[in-house]
Amino acid sequence: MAGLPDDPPAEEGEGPAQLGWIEAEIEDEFPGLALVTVEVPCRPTRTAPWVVHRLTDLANRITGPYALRVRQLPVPALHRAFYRQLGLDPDVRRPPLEQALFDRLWSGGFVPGGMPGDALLVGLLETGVAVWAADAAALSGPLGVRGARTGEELWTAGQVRPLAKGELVIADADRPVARIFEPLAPPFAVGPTTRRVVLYVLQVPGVPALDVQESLNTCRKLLRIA
Amino acid sequence: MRGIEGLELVDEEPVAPFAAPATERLPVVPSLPDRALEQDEHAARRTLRRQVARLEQQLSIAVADDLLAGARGRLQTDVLAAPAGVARLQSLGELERRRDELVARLTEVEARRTEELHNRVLLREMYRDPAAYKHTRLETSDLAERGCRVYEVVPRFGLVGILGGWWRVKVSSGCPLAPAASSFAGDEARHTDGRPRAARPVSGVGLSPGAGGRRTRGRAWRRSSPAGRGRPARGAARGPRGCGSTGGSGPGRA
Repeated sequence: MAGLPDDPPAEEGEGPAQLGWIEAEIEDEFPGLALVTVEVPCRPTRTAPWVVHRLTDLANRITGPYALRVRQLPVPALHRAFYRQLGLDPDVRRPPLEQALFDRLWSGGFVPGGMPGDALLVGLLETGVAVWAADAAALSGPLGVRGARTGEELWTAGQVRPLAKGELVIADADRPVARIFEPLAPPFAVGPTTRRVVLYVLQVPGVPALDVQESLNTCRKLLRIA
Repeated sequence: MRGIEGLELVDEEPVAPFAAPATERLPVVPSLPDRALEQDEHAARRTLRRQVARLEQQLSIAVADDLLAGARGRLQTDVLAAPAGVARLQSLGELERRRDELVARLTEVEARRTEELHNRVLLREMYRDPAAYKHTRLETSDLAERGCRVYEVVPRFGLVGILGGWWRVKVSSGCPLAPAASSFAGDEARHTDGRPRAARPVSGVGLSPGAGGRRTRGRAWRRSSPAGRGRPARGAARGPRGCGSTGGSGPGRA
């Protein structure tokens, strides 16, 4: 766990951006993979009107041709390649940005869902790098990436499901928190009692650190003002 | 390659008749040092991952270009891919399978492009000499174009055209109407494959299969209308309109 060198000064109550741990075997296979985390204060609230306005602006920029072309852009293309390398089909289980664009085209806009979800969505749409938020109170120790062990389980869609052995997960010191590239489920998801969240970004090999920082800073800024 | 060098060290034993095959009785043989093997495998996996990334990029570009150009159906594939599993580190064999799938997908895209090019040439030829391509039918999806047009070489005036050798390319435009939702249309529409049922003709007159046309349909409405004013009764379902096709019969045409 080390603070990032180019990290902007943290506001009061915010922790510095840190690198999470990566299991040795995974790091050996993907040397460029990184998990960047930052802990910030956050209360689940309604989305502020100006954030809604920003989301509307972003939604208006997204067109069908853009959604088709997005897979050729550098950051989404790296995500697609990484999905393939992990044995996933990006046309079946879409990378975060493509899924957001698909939802936008499907529903005709971005329906505000409250903070911090909308802050994460703005960060994703503006940079192509997905940010997830975990309830800091539910975590024990720093986050990292590892393969699931035999017998481990995870809450998904309201029920406990066993993890396949070796499946890549985001984990804290004790247990798996979420599958990689998937949203969190209770007890780690942000709820009404959440007061602090850990924002984390999985930096796919090849994605510039600038994009990762930009995405994190966008989320941080929105959460700070909200 | 693991353990091949060590096979020579296995002592040859006299093989008894009806004994198990020799391969089953091979003892564990000394192999290359694990570390060197791991390094080799690691390098091979790295190379395969690079190939997979490059192929995925090529496939993305090909699919996006085709979709932007209006080609439909390019996301459909006949390549049997391994079922999408979970995100995990892939073994050498799994990475090879992924690479082979991507190669097959790319080959398929190239084959479709070639076929579509051939179809465009065929369409030009159909216009130039329709009689040489009787009843040939091409859809826009065969040509990688937008829309729902169908190009078909048909005889003019039916039998007269066939006898006189008078053929033409008929362009049918417009997409089929979306079927009505069963929850709104009720049971009657559900039995007609989602389409609203047309006014029921009086026996002996009306809509025989293939006897389309406005006059016939209008007559059927007149007869079935209780007021007898040539309009369908209020609430009676009318046939679909705006299909955009010139000629033909029935709502299900292209």
